[in-house]
Amino acid sequence: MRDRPQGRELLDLAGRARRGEPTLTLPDDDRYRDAMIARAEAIAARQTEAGDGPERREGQSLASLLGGDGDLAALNRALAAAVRAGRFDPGAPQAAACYRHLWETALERVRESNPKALAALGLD
Amino acid sequence: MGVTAADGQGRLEAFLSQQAESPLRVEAFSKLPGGAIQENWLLDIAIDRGKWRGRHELVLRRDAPTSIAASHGRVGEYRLLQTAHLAGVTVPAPFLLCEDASVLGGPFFVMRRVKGEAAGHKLTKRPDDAALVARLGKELARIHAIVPGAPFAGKLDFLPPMDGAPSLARVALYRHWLDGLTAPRPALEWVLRRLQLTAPARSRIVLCHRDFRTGNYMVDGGALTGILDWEFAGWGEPEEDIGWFCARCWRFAAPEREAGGIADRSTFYDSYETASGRRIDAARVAWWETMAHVRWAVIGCQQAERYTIGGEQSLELALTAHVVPELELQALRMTAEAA
Repeated sequence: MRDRPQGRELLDLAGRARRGEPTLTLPDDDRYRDAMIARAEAIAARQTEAGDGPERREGQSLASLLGGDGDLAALNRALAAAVRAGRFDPGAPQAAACYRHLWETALERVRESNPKALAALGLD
Repeated sequence: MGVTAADGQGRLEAFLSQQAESPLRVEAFSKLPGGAIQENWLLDIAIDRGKWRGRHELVLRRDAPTSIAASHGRVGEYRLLQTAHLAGVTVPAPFLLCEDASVLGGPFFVMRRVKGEAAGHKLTKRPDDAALVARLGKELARIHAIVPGAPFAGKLDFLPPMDGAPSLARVALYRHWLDGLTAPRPALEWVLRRLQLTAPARSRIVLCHRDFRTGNYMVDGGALTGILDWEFAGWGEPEEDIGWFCARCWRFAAPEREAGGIADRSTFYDSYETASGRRIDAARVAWWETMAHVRWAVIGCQQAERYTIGGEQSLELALTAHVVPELELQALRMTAEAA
């Protein structure tokens, strides 16, 4: 599930920052501010390019893991509760599948939020 | 709390003059960059006579309009600063505390201004600095010499006691924080569950700084000038601070230098162990290092929700949401063997 702010919201934020809207607090350092604006635009661009594929795959994987349907937020809430309750503890039949799901989902998010981090982690 | 330099300066000047028992001039009063949780103001004063006669270069610290759940107020932070100063830790010397909200809209404190650079992305671009890391190891040992009941720890009676295992207390706390978020975080739940199942038992309880990392100390000409940001400190175990300092997410531009992006881990450990007379438990540090990623991720989610839910219009807060996925990925990797 993509984190907010995402897509259009990020572009709006970047636009407000570029216009220097007084209601938006910006970093004091100009270079840092420009880097943040560029980052917001780049994340939005990567999300547009990826389309709804990552979230569709996440939903399918969640439904398969949990054996049920629902929107992404509800499925993620159910998974979070099941993990906390110990349903995917070491040795549980679906522990490895759960880890794979979480890993793949996090990987997809990082591809959008900061693909350079994947190189730093040796995962590109 | 909406005080500006213009309307606050007159009341501040009157307050300081009363404390100094002398006429004084505020020569400079301006907000310093940064400070999502608290604000720092540059304050230069000249005092004509009495106990504080002379010119003083200071920093005034007060709460930002909103702050996150774990942060002590300024009164608590001032007491922590005083205690650390008494214990010989290199900190900006505490100057005075004001609990009267009529002056600046809330409590604030003033400390001596220390020179130097704190920015993590700059400090980690300097050459490897074993001497600085050794000094930081020694400083952390001094912090950890502050234990409950120590003679100079009397000002810390406001800190909640640590009754059980710090490891499990933090698992419970971060779950509580997760429950306060709008969006579920199953990856962080996974890591917290693994950490719960492998949690180390209670050991020695000391004062933990809880934000002892590159970015929160000042360096001037290669020398340490002050350890900053005491607002999260509390009772815990030494390895929590060591894990936080060494965690990959706080190495900035130099991830290969495991001690805060500054130098190698063994230099830091050797210095800490020599100064403290205690061996570092490497397995405990590894546990806390994983927890460091969880903690920073949850704080990142909280900061992002200050924008998405709280409506605080800050580009920096909004983008913190997009730091969280790489922290989750790193934390998941650290628990891969427990899958």
